[in-house]
Amino acid sequence: MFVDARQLDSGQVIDADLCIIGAGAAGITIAREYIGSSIRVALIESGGMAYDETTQSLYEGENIGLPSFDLNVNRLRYFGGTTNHWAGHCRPLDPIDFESRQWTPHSGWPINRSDLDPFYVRAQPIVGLGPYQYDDLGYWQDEIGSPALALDENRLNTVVYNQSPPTRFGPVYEKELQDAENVTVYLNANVLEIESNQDATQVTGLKLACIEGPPLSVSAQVYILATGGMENARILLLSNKTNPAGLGNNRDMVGRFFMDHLLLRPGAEISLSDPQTDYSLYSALHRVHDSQMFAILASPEGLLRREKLNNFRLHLLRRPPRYSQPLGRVFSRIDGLKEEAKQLDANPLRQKNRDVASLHLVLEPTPNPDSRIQLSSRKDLFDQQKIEVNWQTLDRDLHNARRALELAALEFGRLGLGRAYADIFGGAQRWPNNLEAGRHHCGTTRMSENEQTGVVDKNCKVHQLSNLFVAGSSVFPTIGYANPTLTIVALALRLADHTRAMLTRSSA
Amino acid sequence: MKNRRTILKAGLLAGGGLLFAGGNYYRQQQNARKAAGQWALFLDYSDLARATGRSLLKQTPEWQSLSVVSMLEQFLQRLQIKATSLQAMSNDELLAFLQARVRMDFIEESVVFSDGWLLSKTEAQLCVLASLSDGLDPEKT
Repeated sequence: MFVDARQLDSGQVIDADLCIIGAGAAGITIAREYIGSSIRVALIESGGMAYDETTQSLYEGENIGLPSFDLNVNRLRYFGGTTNHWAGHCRPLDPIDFESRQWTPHSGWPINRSDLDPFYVRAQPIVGLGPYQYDDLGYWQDEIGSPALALDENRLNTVVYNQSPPTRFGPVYEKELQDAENVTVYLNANVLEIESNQDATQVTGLKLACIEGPPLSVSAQVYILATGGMENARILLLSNKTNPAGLGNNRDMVGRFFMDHLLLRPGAEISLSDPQTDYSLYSALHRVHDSQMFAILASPEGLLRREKLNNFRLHLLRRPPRYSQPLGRVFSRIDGLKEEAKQLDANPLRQKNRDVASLHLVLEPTPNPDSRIQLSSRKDLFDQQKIEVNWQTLDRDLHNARRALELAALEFGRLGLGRAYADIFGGAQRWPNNLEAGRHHCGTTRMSENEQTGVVDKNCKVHQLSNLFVAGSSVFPTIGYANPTLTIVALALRLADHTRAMLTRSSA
Repeated sequence: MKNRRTILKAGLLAGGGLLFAGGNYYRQQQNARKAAGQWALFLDYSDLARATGRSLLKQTPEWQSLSVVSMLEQFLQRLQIKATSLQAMSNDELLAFLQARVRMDFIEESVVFSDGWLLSKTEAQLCVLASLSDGLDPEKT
């Protein structure tokens, strides 16, 4: 059922077995897993059922590192969270993403891809996707009929991406939660602090406030923090009554290792030798039965090991080019285009708009402890400190980006498809002006073997606390190239199983 | 009007011949320019090809000091074509040599960067040859 927390009595204690903070992809997924069980679940959501400017303003913060994005815009603070405007791109992380890679400092999850495999399969329908068929390109190609590029698989390969409708978790799962007898969604309830026992080893409750409503509190056995990659860290840092550094932060790890995908859109552009080149497998969205897919160019595992690179993907799209002359057409004859097929336009400027393939790079960043979220001196309307984001990259990230684009350029040249243009080619020492963040906030409560290297353990439990868990992309120690939502949902399912077993044991 | 293929072959012969014909410096240079212009016929958008060649020359000191004769020699060496064999080769065979070498460049990463473009060294040399032939219009020779 749904309850507007503003209508509750002042000082009321919400009593539950499990309290989930945040009704986004992770929070809603976990709550749904409990429907019909004997476990009483309270799902605490800051917003209401729709966007509200005042509530949204609680997300305001500052960027003090690389120019990034408006913190108040790319996250959404109402029921359904940021799934209310996500793009829907889905793919599991690669097995290598979980490994401790010698060449990528601070890499390595305490779990493997195989630990998540069954949860990825379960996550697939939750985000509105069809069969779990990421490894079989043929499954899709048989239906689509578009050719894949004949890539040298030591350099690049063609990989399947799935496209969610995209599923808006709020509207899609509202009725299920409304009808659930053991799950109560408290709307317009903001968590100000997670309270703990004296030595900050066990959560004892939550302090809540409403923008126009009473102060409230929560008492539960188990708590799951699921408020997104930035806010998870903020709430832990704000919960500093018993531990001045913040809950779970004895080792100054909360908020560090902030990561986001590094985007260059475009990273490079291919001036095609042949205007008839068919790359629609990559550039178009294809519907196959009840699913939608597109293909990407991705880094083979062998390449990453050989060249000590971070993971990356490239989208191949039809976009107007930024270069001024279609240099690829100069080499059409060398690339094997027959005289009769050339259809040259006398005006190169007109020609260039027809013959371009735009390569958008999505690069895995290197985990960096100096890239971090901290509390700032500015306050929100609850007099709580806002965040400042110091997003940083390393020189090796720039090298990785350049190398990824060079590899694509080499492949397009080798295949006789065209020539590549990129701002970053030729030893550029700085990021091009079009560097963007992927708006995938990760790493600030990273998963690790121990509290020296992270915030949560392999079960997403905060190392230093017995009954506090974290859900969402803030637990990712590395982020590969895949969009995070499918992994967020898979991890949420795994966490739901874990906490259910824990609660069941304690009630027995 | 002679067709493009006939012109191309004639020019390449001249280019091959100059390498062992001796003669005075001026004549060698003229022949080399003519041969360079003929090789450039394997390129389209000749103005763009020449501009790219000029840009590559500017940024590549070791090429700046080369005469057009030396540049042509280097180019033929790169293609592994003996000047004396040129006479026996058809245009299609020459193009096949060029295509194979360019493909190998991309495999071996024998590439250059020019104004944001990644080009194979062979095609970069070809653009330079096109720029050195500037002023000669092969269609009118």
